[in-house]
Amino acid sequence: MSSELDDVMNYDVLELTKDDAALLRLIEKYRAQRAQYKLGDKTAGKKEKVQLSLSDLGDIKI
Amino acid sequence: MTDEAPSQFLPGTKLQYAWDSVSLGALKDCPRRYQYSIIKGWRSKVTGIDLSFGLAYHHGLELYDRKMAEGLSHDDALLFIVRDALISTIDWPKEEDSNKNRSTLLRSLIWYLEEFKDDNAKTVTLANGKPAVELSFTLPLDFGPRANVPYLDELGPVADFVSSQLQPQNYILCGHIDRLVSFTGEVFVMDRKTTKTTISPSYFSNYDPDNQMTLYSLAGQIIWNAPVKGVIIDAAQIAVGFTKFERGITWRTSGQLDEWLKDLKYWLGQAEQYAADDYYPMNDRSCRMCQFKKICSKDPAVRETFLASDFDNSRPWNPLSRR
Repeated sequence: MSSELDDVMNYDVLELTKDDAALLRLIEKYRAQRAQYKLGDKTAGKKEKVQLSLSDLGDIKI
Repeated sequence: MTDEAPSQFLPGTKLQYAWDSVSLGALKDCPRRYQYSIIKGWRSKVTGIDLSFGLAYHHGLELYDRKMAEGLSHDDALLFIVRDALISTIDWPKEEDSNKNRSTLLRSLIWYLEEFKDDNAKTVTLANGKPAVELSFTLPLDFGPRANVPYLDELGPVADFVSSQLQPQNYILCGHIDRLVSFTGEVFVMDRKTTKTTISPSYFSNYDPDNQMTLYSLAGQIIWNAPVKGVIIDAAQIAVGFTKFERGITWRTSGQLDEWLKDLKYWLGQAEQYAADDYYPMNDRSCRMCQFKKICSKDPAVRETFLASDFDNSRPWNPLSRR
């Protein structure tokens, strides 16, 4: 089963790119990954670790 | 690449007068590879993820540099390039590669720009007041192809005059560099690379000596109109679970640059000889990583058939194409 990030990045990516707030949340997810990596987690950047929930997307319809 | 660029060859010949690091590198690696990739223009029909990822990563960081130069804040420039990366990679195949894919591209761009947000390497400002980012260069040499003028060397003192009359087109070195930066009080060209393997000290030593980095150092000097010290290489290791960055510097002295230009004259003379003979010998010590290995391993009688099957020559490489 694909991760939620896959759904976001593949289903309606053009809608996502129109929403600055949603993009900023996406960026924050990757920043959080990096913070985990800096703490020593060598798997922090795995895609499955990014849990982008539907509520993160605000008004975007997916 | 556009179709409007002038040919890199002298009219009616396969004598190349405009050279970039790609075509010169092909010539130096193997004359046959140069023939296939540059003279005949064959390119693989399958664009590998390594190439696509490298281009997208490069483009994203270049765009960031440009937006910062335009006065955007870090956060706004980051937002801009993440949006651009999402849109421009929308047709990337899903899960093609566990290291290099859309998600690791976004991760690598964002992590790089977080890592170097307060970078000590600062973009320099050119004499025209513009920031030194996305720079195309053309460096005319003081000599041109001689192969079409037999016995030129025997003309003695008038050889240069005859050459200038018959061959008005001198050689040109050309290409594009990412940006020029000031770092610890010196000016450097900056280049970015991606790799799946661990970045060890030997990774950077592979660029010293190196055709591309020396040409970039020369180009930097022409653009900056003063000596540059070499190239800063920001290398990114793209692993499955993380992206790790290492910075290395490959230095070039003026003596090394002069030597490279001296050697260049011999290499270009060699290319003229290959063109005159219409024969480009195979260097079978350079086959290991070559995309044409499977072609050269076939009998000569069937190679053209396999080339036409596996490669495409509708978009030949041209150093004079604009970005």
